[in-house]
Amino acid sequence: MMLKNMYKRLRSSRAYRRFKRNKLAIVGAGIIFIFLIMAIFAPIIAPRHPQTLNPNSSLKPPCAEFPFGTDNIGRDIFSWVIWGARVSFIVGVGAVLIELIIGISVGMIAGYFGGWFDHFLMRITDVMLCLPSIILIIVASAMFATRSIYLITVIMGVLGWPWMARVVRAQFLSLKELSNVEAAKSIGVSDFRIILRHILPSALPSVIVLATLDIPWYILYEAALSFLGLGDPTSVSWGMMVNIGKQFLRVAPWVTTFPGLATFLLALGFNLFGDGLRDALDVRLR
Amino acid sequence: MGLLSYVARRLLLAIPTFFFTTLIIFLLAHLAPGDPIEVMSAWKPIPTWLKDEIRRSFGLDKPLYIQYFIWLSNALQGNLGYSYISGQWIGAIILSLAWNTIELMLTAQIVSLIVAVVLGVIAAVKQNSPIDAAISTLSLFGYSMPTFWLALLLIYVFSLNLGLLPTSGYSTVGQPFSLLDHLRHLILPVATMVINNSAYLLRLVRSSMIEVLSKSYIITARAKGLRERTVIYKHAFRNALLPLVTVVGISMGFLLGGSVIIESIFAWPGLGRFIMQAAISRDYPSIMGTSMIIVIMVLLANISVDIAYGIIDPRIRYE
Amino acid sequence: MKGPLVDIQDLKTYFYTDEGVVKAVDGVSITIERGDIFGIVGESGCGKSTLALSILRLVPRPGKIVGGKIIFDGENLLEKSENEMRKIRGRKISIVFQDPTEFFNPVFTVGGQIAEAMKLHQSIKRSNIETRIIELLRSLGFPSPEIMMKRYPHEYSGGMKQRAMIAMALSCQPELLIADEPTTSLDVTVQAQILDLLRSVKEKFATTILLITHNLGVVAEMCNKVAVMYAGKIVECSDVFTVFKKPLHPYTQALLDSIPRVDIEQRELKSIPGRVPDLTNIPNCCRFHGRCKYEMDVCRKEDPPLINVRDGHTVSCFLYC
Repeated sequence: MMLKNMYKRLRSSRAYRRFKRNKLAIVGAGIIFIFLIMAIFAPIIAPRHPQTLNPNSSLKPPCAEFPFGTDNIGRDIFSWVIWGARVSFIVGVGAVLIELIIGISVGMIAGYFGGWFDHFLMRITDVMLCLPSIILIIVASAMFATRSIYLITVIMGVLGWPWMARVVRAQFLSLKELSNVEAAKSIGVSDFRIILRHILPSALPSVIVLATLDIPWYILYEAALSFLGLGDPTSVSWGMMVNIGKQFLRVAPWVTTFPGLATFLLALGFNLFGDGLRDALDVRLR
Repeated sequence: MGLLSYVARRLLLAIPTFFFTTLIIFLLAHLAPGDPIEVMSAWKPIPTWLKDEIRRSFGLDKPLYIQYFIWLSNALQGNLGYSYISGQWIGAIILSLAWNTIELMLTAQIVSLIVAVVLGVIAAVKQNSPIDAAISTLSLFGYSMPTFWLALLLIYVFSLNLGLLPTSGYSTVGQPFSLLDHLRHLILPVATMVINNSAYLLRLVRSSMIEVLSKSYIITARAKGLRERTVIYKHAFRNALLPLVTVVGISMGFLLGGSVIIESIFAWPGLGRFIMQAAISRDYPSIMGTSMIIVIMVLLANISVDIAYGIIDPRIRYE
Repeated sequence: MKGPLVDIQDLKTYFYTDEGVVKAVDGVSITIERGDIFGIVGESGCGKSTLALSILRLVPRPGKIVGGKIIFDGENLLEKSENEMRKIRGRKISIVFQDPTEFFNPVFTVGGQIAEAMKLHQSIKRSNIETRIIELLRSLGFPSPEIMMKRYPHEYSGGMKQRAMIAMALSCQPELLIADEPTTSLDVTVQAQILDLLRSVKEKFATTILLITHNLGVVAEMCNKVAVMYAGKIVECSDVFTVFKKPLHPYTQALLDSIPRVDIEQRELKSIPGRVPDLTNIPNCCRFHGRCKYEMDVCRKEDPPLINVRDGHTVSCFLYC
């Protein structure tokens, strides 16, 4: 019943109307949806398991049996692309969730309470923003012997929270000066309540948009890591296949083209969607 | 004066950042399981007593914090140690490689900035027109592209198929060095980085410019009777530059990170490729030395950016 | 005798927004003689600022001037090219805005920005410009103009910024100075100074002033003529004494009524019932309909025209048709 009400409110809201008018954003949402279906129903949709080897069908160009061709040990690129969506979603969304949890908590406290904690936090975020985190990840990934996509997701989320914290902090800093907060304080509402009911809801749009726009970044990141051979060797990752195809670029370009294209499209989809979200919610970041 | 003390403050802040960063990298490198000796013995088994000997000679048996201080005091004197793997003096390695990476970064950043500023300003001034839509969409495509895929695509089209440009390397092997040849090798890697980077910067220029153009002092400028060109390039642009300048510093960090991929694909002899190889073979001194140089480069970039910001925006100097 | 300095005839400026067409200025006609301090008074959102910007043809997107004439010194400004308009802006017609904080460019010195207008419109030698600016600033009450002109806007206080804006507007000795709410964002004491300043400017430079405000007190003190604006139209216009002593339009009467009085006993503050009409959805009737004491049948069906009741006193109300 409550869901129905929320749905009705959503449909009539200004933001929704503005979003609908943005054709590109709808396209973005569509792309995400298609890939999501791919990821969820991979076992059903894919013709065969991508890691099955067919040594007789090495480096076949796209044909009826293998719509995207095969790699040098006969793996079906088409199935690889379908299954690969899973890894991208897990890492992309997972890292963002971690980033959200840490970033919101930290940013909230720093922005609302200020003081030494805020200062300390800002120094840390300054340093972390200075570092080319890619270097850190590469160093870290190269170090760890067993790498799983979950480990990678956690590392990326842990390295990514400074941005989120900064935005949340900035939001809290300005929102806490509003008169409704002052009024609530004056009648003795607890800080916790104020944060939850007065400030957080207004800060949410920026946070949501930032999170949505971070997902493609993490997807690209993971693909890059897998490409460098630093990803999870047991996972079905698009980046990994592009790396394999690199050696056969001249003779079998389909091995690099299709997985890379998938990465590009999914990232594009999220970027279009996130952009549309930002315009609809009228948010200004940084 | 205001500007000098501002610069001094920035420099002062860089020092703890430097220490903190190198410490983190040190910890990361050493906390992971395994050490270079293990990696070495994966190739050819080494008896345990010999392993311990080697470890002792490298000082790897000492506690971590002591190892860090030894490294730090040496590094600050300019002695970055020797590579575990190749035995070469790291300082020499880095010197020969650093320039290649810097060349790639700077060229890419400068070209990106030019493209981003030109297209971004056009898109902002002609907001919501078809030109703006085209530019905005193109930029969205540009930064959604995975760098490695884009690089391979460009190689495929321009190198393998059209034969216009070399596939990789710094210069053609076997031929004496010529500037033209070198430039030909520079084109593809720089183009890849520019496509990604300028797309990102362009959006920033555009949104910053749009925001500035809606500000009140722009109306004042017009009300004075200034030509539209003056209004845009003198009044609006300088204010729009401010957020851009901040991001340039950060994007240098991204570019350096991306250099690992670019240098791998294009076999460009630079720091990015070197640090990757060092990380895989657990060559601690090389990792630390290269990281330190990279961190210094990023810090320098950020400080220059902060200084530039102080020059452009007089309000900052008095904070 | 030359004609009036400004003769606005049936000006219409509309904003084409996503939510509909906002008719900010919907058929406004005003005549300003040389030497007038002409006041336009009305509440926020009634279109007065848009009117000011329309004269200079600086209406921002999505606004457009869609009809009427603006005759300045005998010529219709709406027929001029952009090039010609640029020669008029800052030189013949200047404008001072409401909130001075954002109206100076923060990255340039104040002196530099004032000099910009001078360099553009007048051929003065570089060396003379500085002296002229110092003189100008001094005459506007700045204590150390040589130092102040090299400072940046963020180093000025609100009142100083407003003065600097006026200095900038006057730097080329315009014939018409449009002052859009020049005192609204200032302290009362500073307000008084700025008003004095404007008066002295008028005397010294013989500038005609178009003063836009929502403050009836300011109008009473400064202006010799006043037009009352409501929801995009002029509802009453005459000299100041007539409008204040014998207001004809119900809106003007209600406005004057709502001023709190200290000399008589009042139980409650009087306000005007109802709300300002939604400018995207203006019905074809009197805009004050629904809030008017004297409302008649015809008020609901047609829009009253602006009629000349006594010499120079115009009203837009069916009571006088």
